[in-house]
Amino acid sequence: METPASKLVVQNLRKSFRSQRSEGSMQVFEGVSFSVQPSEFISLVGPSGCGKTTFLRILDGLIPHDDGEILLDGKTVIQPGPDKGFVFQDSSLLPWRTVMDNIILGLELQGVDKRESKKKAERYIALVGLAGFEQHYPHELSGGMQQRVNLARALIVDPQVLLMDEPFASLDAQTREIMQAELLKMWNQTKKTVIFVTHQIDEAIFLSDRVVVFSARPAKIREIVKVGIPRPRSLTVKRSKEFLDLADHVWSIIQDEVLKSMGREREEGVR
Amino acid sequence: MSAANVYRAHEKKFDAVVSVVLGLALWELIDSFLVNNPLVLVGPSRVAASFLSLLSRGVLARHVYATFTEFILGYLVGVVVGFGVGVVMALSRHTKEVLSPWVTIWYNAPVILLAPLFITALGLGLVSKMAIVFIAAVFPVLFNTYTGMSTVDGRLIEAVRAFGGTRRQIFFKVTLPGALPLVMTGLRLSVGRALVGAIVSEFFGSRAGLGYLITAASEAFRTAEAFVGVVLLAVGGYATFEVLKYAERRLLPGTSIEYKGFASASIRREEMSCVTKPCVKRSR
Repeated sequence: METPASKLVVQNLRKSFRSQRSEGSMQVFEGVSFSVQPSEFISLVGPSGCGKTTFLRILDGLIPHDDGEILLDGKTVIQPGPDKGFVFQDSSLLPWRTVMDNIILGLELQGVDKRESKKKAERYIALVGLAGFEQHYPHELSGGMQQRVNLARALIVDPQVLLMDEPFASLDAQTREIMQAELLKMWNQTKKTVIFVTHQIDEAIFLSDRVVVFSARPAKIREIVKVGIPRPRSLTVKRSKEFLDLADHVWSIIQDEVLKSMGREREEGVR
Repeated sequence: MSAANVYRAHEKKFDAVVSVVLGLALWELIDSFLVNNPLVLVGPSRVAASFLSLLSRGVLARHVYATFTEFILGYLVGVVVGFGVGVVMALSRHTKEVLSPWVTIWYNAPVILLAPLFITALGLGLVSKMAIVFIAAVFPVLFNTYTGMSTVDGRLIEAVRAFGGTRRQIFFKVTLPGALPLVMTGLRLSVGRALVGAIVSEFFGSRAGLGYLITAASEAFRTAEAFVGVVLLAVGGYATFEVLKYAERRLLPGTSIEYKGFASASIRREEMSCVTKPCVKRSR
């Protein structure tokens, strides 16, 4: 049994999609279980196509699961809501709304008074470093700044858990590093519980307390890697031996999984 | 500011004005020196003189009023119905399947040729013209509303859903504003069709209107008067177009740069068969 203090508990989660070509169905998750402590930063990594993004959507309640349970603060997750903040891979900001109006979207959907929302938004605009850009439209912003808006939009609803789906994947390498460092700073200030999906191993290790490594499909948890590097971390730790050893370790698990799934595909191809 | 700076600041407008002035001058020259036959061609000066004469006799006001009423009433009803049916078709798959063959048939049929039948059925007055204008105007609005609503970026809908948006909130906060650029395109495309509908149905039988003025004048070889009618129609179409463009700019902040990733306002008439064919999202 999980300790009652856990923020988020996933128990024996299963999910399959109906296959488009044949009659059968495709198993995506096969009994995934883990728990997350309050204010913990968890990353999910795994071979491409293992379903990390689907998993995150299931945690949010955007996609239903077949079996198993998801508990947030002891309550079953059945649908999306303001107790979870979702940060999308592409910012998916409403193009006809200003930065300010995009950020207050979550509050607006809950029916919060507009003036009150805007006052609250100022804090988050400052937190993500967007002061002065309140009246800009998304197309006037760089990719990195759009992701800052994306982040502020998720933080303002004051969620119990922040679900981040490869938020820096479309940014250039430099901007990505800056955003990683800033994310840690914001995380330190807000003390949110974060589930962070990424395909970049160094990003996962740099940010996280623990890295959950998924197997190839049907995905199970291969290993949960604890990152003992002390905080606060600066970008220079990425060159430390401890960091590189961890990265090697995670990489070898994923490589192993990729090779296994390639072998399986070849077998299926022969059949 | 130097003259060069003034020119640069208004370069586009200046070029447009010069183009129009030169065009009018060329027209006048061809009329005076090349053709010089008032039955075939009349220059701008004679059109202007005829315009003033018609205006002072109060004839013009009557014709403009008749055509304007037919146009505006038929157009407005067409816009409201086209928008409404487009929304319902986008929201309900069943309605879409039931209506789409009829919509396609009516849209592609040369409805204008049915004008004599409409006039026989509904009389020489306003109602028959309104009906033709309505049919001409309704489909571009309908197609564009439907296409706009069904091609709104799914990622935007998912984002609103992730923050707990209800179906109703998704409709009003994403689908509807997302479809607006295409709805406005539909409104603009309908203007031309509606005007042609009003005029041509007047050709087939009427007691007043600019179409009536043009046919009556041509038959009596008063070419200048016919030209007055044509010029007024062109100006009216242009003005409506500009009003809609202005409304579009006010309603859709930042559309001069196309919204990234969602249906842009570039879908034109020939691309509007989306109701019957699988629709390909086009974005510039």
